[in-house]
Amino acid sequence: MDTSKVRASYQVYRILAVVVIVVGASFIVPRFASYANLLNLTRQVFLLTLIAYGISLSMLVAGLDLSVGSVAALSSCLAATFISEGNVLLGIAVGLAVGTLCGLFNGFLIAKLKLPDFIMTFSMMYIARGLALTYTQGESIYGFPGSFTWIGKSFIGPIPMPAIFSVAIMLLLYLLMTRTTFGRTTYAVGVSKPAAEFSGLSVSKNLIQIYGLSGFLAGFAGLIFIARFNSADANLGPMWPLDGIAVCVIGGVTFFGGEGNILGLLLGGIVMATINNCVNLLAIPPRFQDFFVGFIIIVAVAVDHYTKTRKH
Amino acid sequence: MKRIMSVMSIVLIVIFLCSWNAFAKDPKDMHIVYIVKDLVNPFFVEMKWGGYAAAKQYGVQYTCLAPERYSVENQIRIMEDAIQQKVDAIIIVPIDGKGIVSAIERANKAGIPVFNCNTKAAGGQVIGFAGIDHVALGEAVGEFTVKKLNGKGQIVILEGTTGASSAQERLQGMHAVLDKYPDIKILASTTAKYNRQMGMKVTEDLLVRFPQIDAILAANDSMALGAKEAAKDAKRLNNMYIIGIDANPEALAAVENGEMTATINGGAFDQGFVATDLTCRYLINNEKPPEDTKVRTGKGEAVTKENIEEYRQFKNDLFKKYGLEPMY
Repeated sequence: MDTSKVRASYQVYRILAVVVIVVGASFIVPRFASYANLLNLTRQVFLLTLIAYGISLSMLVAGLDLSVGSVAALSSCLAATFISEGNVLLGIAVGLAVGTLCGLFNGFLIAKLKLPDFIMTFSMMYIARGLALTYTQGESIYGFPGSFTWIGKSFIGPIPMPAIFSVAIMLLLYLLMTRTTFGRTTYAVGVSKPAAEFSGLSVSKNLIQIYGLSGFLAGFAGLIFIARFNSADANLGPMWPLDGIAVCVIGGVTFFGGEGNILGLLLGGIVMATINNCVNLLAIPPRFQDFFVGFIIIVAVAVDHYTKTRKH
Repeated sequence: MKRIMSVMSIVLIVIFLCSWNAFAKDPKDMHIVYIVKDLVNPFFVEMKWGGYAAAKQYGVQYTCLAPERYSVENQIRIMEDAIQQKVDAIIIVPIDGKGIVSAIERANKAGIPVFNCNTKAAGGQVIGFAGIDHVALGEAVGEFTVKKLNGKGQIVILEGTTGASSAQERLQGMHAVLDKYPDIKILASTTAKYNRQMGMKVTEDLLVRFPQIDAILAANDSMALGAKEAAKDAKRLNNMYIIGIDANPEALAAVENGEMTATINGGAFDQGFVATDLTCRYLINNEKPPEDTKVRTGKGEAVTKENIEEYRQFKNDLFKKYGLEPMY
C-alpha cells in the first residue's frame, strides 16, 4: 500500500474509534445523548480545539508552544480594561495584538537565537503570567457590554457562538495549511529543518510566522473565554497547554513535526470533551476523577497507536 | 578557682551577648515573610493587607509573596529563598498541607520560626496556627440555604480542590446543617477545584443532568461566579439560588445586581492580621502564640442584597482604621 492510502485508511480508523466512543457513551451514560447535552458537548469540543490550534501549529514544525494559556491571560486582561470601559473594538484589537506580539517574540528568539522552543515558550509562560498578575494586581475586571459578550454567549439557531468561531478558524487553518505555500513550507520545516533550508525555504521566517499565529490564536481564545465568563483575571488557562497537547496528540498531531491535520483536532476535541462530560454525568467521585481522566486518555492514545503501528 | 571563675564569666558574657543580641533586635530590623497561595485571588490580596496592617503596628518589615503558579513546589522554593535570606519569621498558607512539611522542617533546622495560617500544615514545628473556622463557613452556607428554601429543595454542591483541608471542612460544615433536613436533596456533590473555568463547565454539565436545581452551593466565590454564568446562559438563573464563600469584590458586585444570592465573609483580612500580629508578638515580646487560633470575623452571616452596603462599610472602615486604601 502506498503512503497516502495508509494515511487515508488510518484516518478512517481514527474516525471510527471516535464514533465508537461517542455511541458507547450515549448507551452507558444517562442523558449523554440528550439534545441539551449534545449542544453542551458541542460547545465544550470547540472550546477545547480553540485552545489547541496554536499548540498544533507549533507541533507541526516540531516545536511546542507552552505559553498559550498565559498569553491568553495577559492579552485578555489588557483587552478587558478597554472593553469594560465600552471601547469594544479597541479592546479586541489590543487583545489580538498583544497575543500576536508575544507569539512573534517567541518565534523570533526560537528562530534567530536558536533557543530551544520548549525553554522559550516555557519562559514566556511565566513572563506573560507575571505581567498579567502585575497589571491586574490580583483584581478581576468584570462587567462587559453586550456588544462584546455575544462572542462567547450568543447562539445562531441552537449553535453556540464560540463553536461557530472555532469552526471558522479550523476551516481557515485547514485551507492555510493544505492549499498555500505557507502550509507546505510549514510541513517541510516540520519534517526536517536542514532539508527545508537546503531546498531554499526560509525556515526562520516560517517559525516566526507560526509562533506569531499561535500567539494571535491564544489572544483570540482569551477573548472568547472572558466573554463567556463576563470577567477577566490573570488566572486564565493554567491547564491550557496540557489540555491542548492532549487534544493534538489524540487528534493525530505528533511531537516530531510534519505530521497531522488540523481537522484531526476535531476528533481530539470530541474525545477529551466526552471524557470530561462523562465525569460529571456519571457522577464520578471527586477523589477518583483525575485518575479516571488520565486512564481514559491513555486508553484512547494506546488504541490509536496500536491501530497505527499495525497498519504500517 | 580563678581559672574556673574566668571561664564561667566568659561563658556568662557570651550567653549574655547572645541573648542580648536576640532581645535587643529592633523591630525595624525584623523581617517577616508572609507566603500565601496566590495573589490573583482577591481573597489573598485582602489577607496580604491584613498582615501588612498588623506588621505596621509594630514597625516590622513585611513582605507578602505567592507562587507564580498554583503549586506547592513553587511555595517550597519561595520558602527556601526566605530561609537563605535569614528572615526573622515565615508565615505560611500552604497550598498543600502535606507537601509543605519538608520546607517547614528546613526552616526549623535553620532556626527560623514558622507560623501557619489558613490551611493546616501536616507536620514540622510551627509556633502556632491561626485560621478561619472553615466548618463554620460551610455551616453558614448551609443555614442560609435552608432558610431560603424553607427546608425543602434540590441542591448541588461545588466542592473545593480535593485533598485541601479547607475544602473538606467547608463541605463538612455544609453537611452538618443540610443533613438535618431530609427534604433537602443533594443531587450532586463534585469538585470544581476552586476554579472559575471548571465551575462554569461542571455547572453546564450538571444543568443538563438535572432539569430542576433549586440552589448551587459553592465552596468559594470563583466557582460560584462560574456557576452563575453557566446558569445565566442556560436561562435558569432566575429559578435558583447561588451561594459562595469569601465575599470577594466581584462576588459582592454579583450579589448586588442579583446574579448571586449570597456570599459568606471568608475573613481574609482578619486571618492575615491575626497571624501576623501573633508572629510579631512572638518575635518582640517572646509571647508564645496559642496552638490553634480560630479567627472570628466581625461579620459572619451571609452577605445578601439587603445587607451589602452595611458589609462594605464595615470592611472599608477596617481598612481605613489601619491607614489602607479601602478595597470595596
